[in-house]
Amino acid sequence: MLNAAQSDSEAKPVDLKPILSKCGKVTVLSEPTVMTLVGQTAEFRSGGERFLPAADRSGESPRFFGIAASITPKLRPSGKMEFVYEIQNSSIVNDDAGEPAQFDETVIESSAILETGEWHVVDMNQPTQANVRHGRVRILALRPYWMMRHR
Amino acid sequence: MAGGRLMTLPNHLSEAGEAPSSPASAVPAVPSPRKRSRWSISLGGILIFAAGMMVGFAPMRAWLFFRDEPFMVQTELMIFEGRCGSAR
Repeated sequence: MLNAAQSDSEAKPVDLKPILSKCGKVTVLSEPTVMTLVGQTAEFRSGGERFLPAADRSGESPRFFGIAASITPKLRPSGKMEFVYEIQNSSIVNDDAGEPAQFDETVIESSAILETGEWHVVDMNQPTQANVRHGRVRILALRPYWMMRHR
Repeated sequence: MAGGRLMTLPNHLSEAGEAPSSPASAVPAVPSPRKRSRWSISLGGILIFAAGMMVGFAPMRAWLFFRDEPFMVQTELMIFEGRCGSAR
């Protein structure tokens, strides 16, 4: 397992280099940048939607698969910034034609107190079927920069 | 005392009407205000001034803090896949 900080409210920021060196060859799926106000939630989604039959059989309803991250920076009384995040990692387990798709979903809700420019790594090493099947894990790292209000 | 003036004896005279033994004691004993040390007055003033500063400057400090608070937050995300030392 990675020595990554997760599910810890006092998690310390992690340097990405040793983690990446452990991972060997990694595939960067996405490098987005989101910007938000303090106290507001920024969301990022990368993936798609699959229409599934509704439970009441009244039609089909879309279901998201992929990675969705919502981040809310908050200002602590000490002046430090706390990041409350929720990361959803879901993938389709079976994609057989004729059968409704099954989803493998992991949701991580946590928070971290970060300094500007420091990485926080969220290891999504959950024993999910998709991870076992592919033998690869998805990791999300976030690094905040906060800016003063311009006057 | 009827028809006469109402008189009170000075404190320094005894009821027997003895004259004061020394001229200095003829001065009526007026209670003088209690003298305070100059230093204690200064210390009290400084404390009152400091308390006033703290109370008065608290809103200003809060205003300065919120004026300069981080306003926008830019977050870089990096999503990657790898084996990453996992046992699986």
